[in-house]
Amino acid sequence: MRRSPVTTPVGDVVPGWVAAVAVAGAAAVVVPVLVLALQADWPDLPALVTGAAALDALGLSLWTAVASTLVCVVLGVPLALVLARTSFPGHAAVRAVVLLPLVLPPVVSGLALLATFGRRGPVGGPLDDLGLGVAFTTTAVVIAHTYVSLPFLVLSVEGALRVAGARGELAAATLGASANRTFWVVTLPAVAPALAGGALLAFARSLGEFGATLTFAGSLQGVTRTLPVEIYLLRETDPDAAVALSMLLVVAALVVVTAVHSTGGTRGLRAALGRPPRA
Amino acid sequence: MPEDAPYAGRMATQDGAATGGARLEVTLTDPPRGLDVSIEVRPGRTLALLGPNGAGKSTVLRTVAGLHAPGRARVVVGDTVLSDVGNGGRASWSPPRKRAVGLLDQQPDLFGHLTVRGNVMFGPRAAGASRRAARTFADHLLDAVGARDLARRRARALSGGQAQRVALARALAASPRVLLLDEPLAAVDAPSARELREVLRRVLDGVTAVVVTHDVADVRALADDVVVLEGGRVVEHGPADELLAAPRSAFLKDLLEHDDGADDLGPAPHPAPRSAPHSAPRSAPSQDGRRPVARHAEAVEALVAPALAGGAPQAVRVAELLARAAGEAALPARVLARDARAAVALPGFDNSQMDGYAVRAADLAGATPDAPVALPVAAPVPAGTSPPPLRAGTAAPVMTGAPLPDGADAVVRVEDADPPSFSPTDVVRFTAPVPSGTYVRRAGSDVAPGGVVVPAGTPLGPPQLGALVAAGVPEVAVAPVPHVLLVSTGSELVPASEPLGAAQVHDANGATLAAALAQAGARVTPRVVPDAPDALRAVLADAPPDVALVVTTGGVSAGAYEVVRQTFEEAWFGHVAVQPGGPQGLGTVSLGPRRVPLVAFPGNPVSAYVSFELFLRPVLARATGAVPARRPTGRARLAEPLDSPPALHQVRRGVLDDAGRVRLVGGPGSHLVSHLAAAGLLVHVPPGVARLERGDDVDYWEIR
Repeated sequence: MRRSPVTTPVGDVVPGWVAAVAVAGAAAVVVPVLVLALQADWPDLPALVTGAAALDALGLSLWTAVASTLVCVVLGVPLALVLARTSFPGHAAVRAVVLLPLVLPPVVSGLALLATFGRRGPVGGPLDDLGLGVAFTTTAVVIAHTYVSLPFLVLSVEGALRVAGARGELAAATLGASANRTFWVVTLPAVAPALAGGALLAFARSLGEFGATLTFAGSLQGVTRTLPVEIYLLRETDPDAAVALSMLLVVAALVVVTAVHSTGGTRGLRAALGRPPRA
Repeated sequence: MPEDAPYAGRMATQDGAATGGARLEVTLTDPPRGLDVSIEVRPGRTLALLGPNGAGKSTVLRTVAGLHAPGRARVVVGDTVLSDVGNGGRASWSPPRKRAVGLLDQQPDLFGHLTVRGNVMFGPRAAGASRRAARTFADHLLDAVGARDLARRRARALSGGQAQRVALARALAASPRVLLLDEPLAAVDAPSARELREVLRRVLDGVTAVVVTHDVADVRALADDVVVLEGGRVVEHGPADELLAAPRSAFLKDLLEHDDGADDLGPAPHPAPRSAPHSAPRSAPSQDGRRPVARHAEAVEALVAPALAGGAPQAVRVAELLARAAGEAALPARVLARDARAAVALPGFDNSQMDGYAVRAADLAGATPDAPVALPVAAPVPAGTSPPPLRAGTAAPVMTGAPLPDGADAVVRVEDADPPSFSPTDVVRFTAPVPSGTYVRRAGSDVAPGGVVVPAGTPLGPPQLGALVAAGVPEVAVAPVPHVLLVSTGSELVPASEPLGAAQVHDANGATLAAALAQAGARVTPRVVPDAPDALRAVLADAPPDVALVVTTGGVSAGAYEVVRQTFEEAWFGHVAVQPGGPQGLGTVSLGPRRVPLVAFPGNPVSAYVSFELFLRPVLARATGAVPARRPTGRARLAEPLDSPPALHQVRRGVLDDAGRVRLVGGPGSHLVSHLAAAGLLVHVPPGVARLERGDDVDYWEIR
């Protein structure tokens, strides 16, 4: 269903040299993962990934990724709606800034979060005084994940909203519906597939987050040491275990990518980029 | 389960809910857009808002719906002020959701993720109806628009026509006090539009509504009133039937022009005599160049009829005419050019109207049943004899049509006499007096000598010939038989029955039209010319001197070898709103010192024939009297559906089947000669009709 039954010979549409470079490009992405997989000590893999530290890291990674995805949805959908449907002075600037974490080096993001939520930061200080300090806690991990993942969700939902247009909402208004009813009954269901896709992307981004997390939340086993951080630390002491855990993340990533595509969850993004919704 | 009550009941009591309708008043001024409009719609009426693109129609609708805020606006529905902006005082403005103004757009804008029923339930649910009540009400409205069977379908899976039906039900379900329709049928395919228009006509009854449209059919079906906007201003307004009958604005006139032929099957009855026999045809074409059928027919008549009426009358002996009719099994078509006057009186002598007794009225003056007058019986008078005078005091038996004896001035019917029969008797008794002149046909009482027996302009049929003979008219002056030069153009044409070369065809047009012209009483000189202006000019230069009319086929389109167009540059060439037979030409042509009318038909045989039937045959028939000017007409149900271009008057060929229904012969295409030959009817589909279903009535002409 996802694969076109008709194949187009390369030479007809694309110059041969372009195709050759494309193959090189695909290889650049795939070969390292394949080589890593070949290095993996597959017979001992179950033992390697079920160590206490590994399990702690895996569990922490999973639940913080889920938590941050939920936070992304709660914060991101309203943000996307405001960006897609309203105009106000500085709209373009806000939109650019919201997408900033996409391009910011994660370590810089971590530093920014530390400055804000750290014990001496403008937000972290008062919270710390109340005994709700977040620096170097699991909460900090969730905050770091949310920070880097939010743009994926906002982009996906905002694109879908723009594609869908506001006509449905206008129709709802002339039928006497309040803005709130329109949001829940008309707007949100219309972009549900894009929302699911954006959430999956945000989840995947959270699962792999490393730089901002290490910088802002640190590396305490069972508290802030997520799977990528664990892999980074094991890399020196137990390369086989590092590779084994890496395989875990590769599999997780493949599952997410497949899921996103099969739910058509990137429809909003793809449509926003000018492709037909049902490719 | 009678669950209708809760929500529908609430609606009915609501002021101006869909079943009632509220008054709408809208005034808006928007200088940057050049808008200055004031419109009122009375409760329960439907206003059609017409005008060219950019006239401000949609802005008016959007202002009423609260989706647009122009510089100054005041919108009042019922007693509620919805907008009052820029008019001094405190500005007020209700958001769309609080207006109770429904909007049906060109695009249905359904909620694609909901079911059809979910869409229609949306308004009631937003207004606080329970799920159950909203569902019942939604189903009721889906029934009303004929979409109940779609209730469980996902809205995004509907066709355009279906979606628009559902959108209509959804808008009505929200109980609007005013419903706005912005070109509601513009994006719907033609057959669906026809059905949906009917649905709209039903449901808009009693609803205050404004419909923006470009389609006259919408106006006719839906509108009570019409407002025409041009350049942001109201240029015309009034009741729809009045404005449609007598449009004043250029826009409305033009819009209706395309619709003009809708009720016309052809030329109007004989128009008033035209002056200026050879003036140019009235040729102001409508703006897109398509002339309505009736207008072109009038133009042809105005040009051709005077030319056919001209020419010196010919003397024809009545006896010769009768002899030819008997010898050729056909009565030659002749129309009297001058009054035929009686040579003798009709009747030629006084005669009896009854079998009875010829008497002198004075003899019976005192007759009563008690004292009858008895008179001796004189010799009987049979027909065809010249009787002796009637002596006073006698009664002569006389037969019907027999001459009255001199002296007699009345006839008493035999049954009124005693005995009441012509029994052999010497004396006959009368029981009542009789006024002078009773049952007597006086000499000259039908026609006096020198009186008009048959007036000029009358075709000579059997009764006329009988009257002429009776009145002793030996010779009459008849109109000359019109001589028509029929020119088939086309380099591919070969005259009938000559051998065909490569890529050549026989001149079917020439055959069809020559026969049709002759049947309509014309003499025909047929010619075939190739697509070369010089060849056409040569044929004209060589034309017989008495040609009264030139008819051409072919060469009138916009192609590269349009010989007729190229040759007659002064004539009018254009499109008539008819299919087949759209391209037409009309003008005059110089034949030596004379100018005679030119009627140019298209080259496709069926097009040419249909053109002849619509435009030329009635004129010719009236001039020659050979055949009735109007074809026998009828109306019957269609045996099959048909599609027709809504802008055109379509003429299909058909036959009546055994059930008396109209079955079409061949498609709408204009080249199928064999189909035409099989057809006995021309089926008329007036403009504005895009599709007729099986069982719909159609008008037809019988063509044989």
